[in-house]
Amino acid sequence: MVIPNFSIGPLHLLDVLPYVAIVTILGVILLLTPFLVWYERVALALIQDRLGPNRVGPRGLLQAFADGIKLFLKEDIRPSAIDATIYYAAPVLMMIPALAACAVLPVADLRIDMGGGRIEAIPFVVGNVNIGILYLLGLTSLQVYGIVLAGWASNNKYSLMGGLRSSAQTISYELSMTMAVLTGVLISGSTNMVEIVRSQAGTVADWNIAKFLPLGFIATVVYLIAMVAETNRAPFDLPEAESELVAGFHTEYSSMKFAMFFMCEYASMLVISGVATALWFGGWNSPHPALNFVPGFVWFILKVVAFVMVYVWVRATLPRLRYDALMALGWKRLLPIALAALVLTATWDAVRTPADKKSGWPVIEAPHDADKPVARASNAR
Amino acid sequence: MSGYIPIVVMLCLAALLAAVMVLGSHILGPHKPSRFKVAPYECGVTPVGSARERFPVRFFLVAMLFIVFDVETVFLFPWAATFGAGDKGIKLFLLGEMGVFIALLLVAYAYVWQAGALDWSEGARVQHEATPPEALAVRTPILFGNEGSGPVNLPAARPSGAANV
Repeated sequence: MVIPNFSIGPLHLLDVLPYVAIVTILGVILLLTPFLVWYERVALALIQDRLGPNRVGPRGLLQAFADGIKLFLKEDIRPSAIDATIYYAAPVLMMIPALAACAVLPVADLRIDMGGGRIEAIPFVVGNVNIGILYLLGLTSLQVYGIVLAGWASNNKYSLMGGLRSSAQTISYELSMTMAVLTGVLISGSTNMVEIVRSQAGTVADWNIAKFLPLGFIATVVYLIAMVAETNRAPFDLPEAESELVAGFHTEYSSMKFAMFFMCEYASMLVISGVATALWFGGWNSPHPALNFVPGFVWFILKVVAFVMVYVWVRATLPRLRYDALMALGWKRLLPIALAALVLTATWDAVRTPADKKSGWPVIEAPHDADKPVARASNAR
Repeated sequence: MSGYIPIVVMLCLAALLAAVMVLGSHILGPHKPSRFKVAPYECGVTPVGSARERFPVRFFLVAMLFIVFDVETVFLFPWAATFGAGDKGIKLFLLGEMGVFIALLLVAYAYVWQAGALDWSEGARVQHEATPPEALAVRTPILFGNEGSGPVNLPAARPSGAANV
């Protein structure tokens, strides 16, 4: 599918494309969240032999929309003991990274006719930046501020414990996750998300999960476990363990602020599944060249949806961990495994490199007059 | 740098959306506070004391350990991104360099592990200590005031299995 490069007035397609991506991605995330909630409730109901939501709209599809409108119009209770500024800022602080993290997620490669029969692959992404994966890791870990500040500002014992648990859990699993991501960066040789996805073009065997077997696979598994813990989902949902902490850090939140914490959870689920897709499962690439007729964004969405389904399946299947077991898994198991996978991948790569391979590093020529003292303009005064 | 402008726009848009949600529900919703509604939630009973209590120092310890290892990953990122492009000599050299760095960190990791900083199960360490006598002493039962009224007559339990008939 080739799109012609056109311009309306002074606006050219390539200049407008990032802003189209912003609107599309934000719209998809905000619209998809209610359907995700619906999907989770129906899937859980089916697994637990219940009916689930089936009253509002066809098959209960509009239930989450109705809940959203209801929550928006509910009383905004202002608890007496709160630290007001932080209390109101916390959901906003959590929402910004959850929504903005997907700015570097490449959804598809558009084939654009640049004129004269020259077809270029332009990624459909908000910001095609070199530090893509660093930006993603940074923003996903910024979310912990929202959680810990919400817990602190509520001035409620359950909230405080939930916020503390969540911060400790998130930073612990972030280490294993970063180590696993580093393995992916090492395999792909770039921190640019688009480059990472492009390096996996071809068949399933070219995806990062299947490279350096079994090391790529091990790193993928570590990432997948850490990503469930990062989003505070079952079986790692200790921060909001309702049997011991009521609702954890959002116990004191009501109306839309409560709904915002929910939306953040689902938005970060989508984003972190998108990262897993791009980093390990080939992003928009099809599993086999014979299936290349299916557009890239369809593959991307299919893979992300598959991850979300696994999220729900895991929630319905596994019991919640005890807190000491949770910390032991993160610090004593996943971290050494991820580090070992990284070092072994690098060792394997170095050993199998043929001795006559040319270095791809840029050669920096020594300045012609390196031995002469350099004139320093700043010291002249 | 032009690639970053849409990202900044997206950050602003996300902030705007979040602010509209908080303000919108604040404006649209009713406001009927009462003394019990605005009290901190403690399972429906009167809250006891402040929530700004002491909390386990472990949470702080984990944060410090995190910073140590997170700095490591910061150093590892440029290393991992450029590793694949080198020739064999460069790769082996880089591997040795990073190997020294990681080995030094592993020493710290091993120390932290054996010192028990990664141990969150309180019971594992307290197990061998003798149970204090006051914990073993028989405590006075809590009285509800209706003890003198005799046994409560409950309906006789049906034999098991009969409920399904």
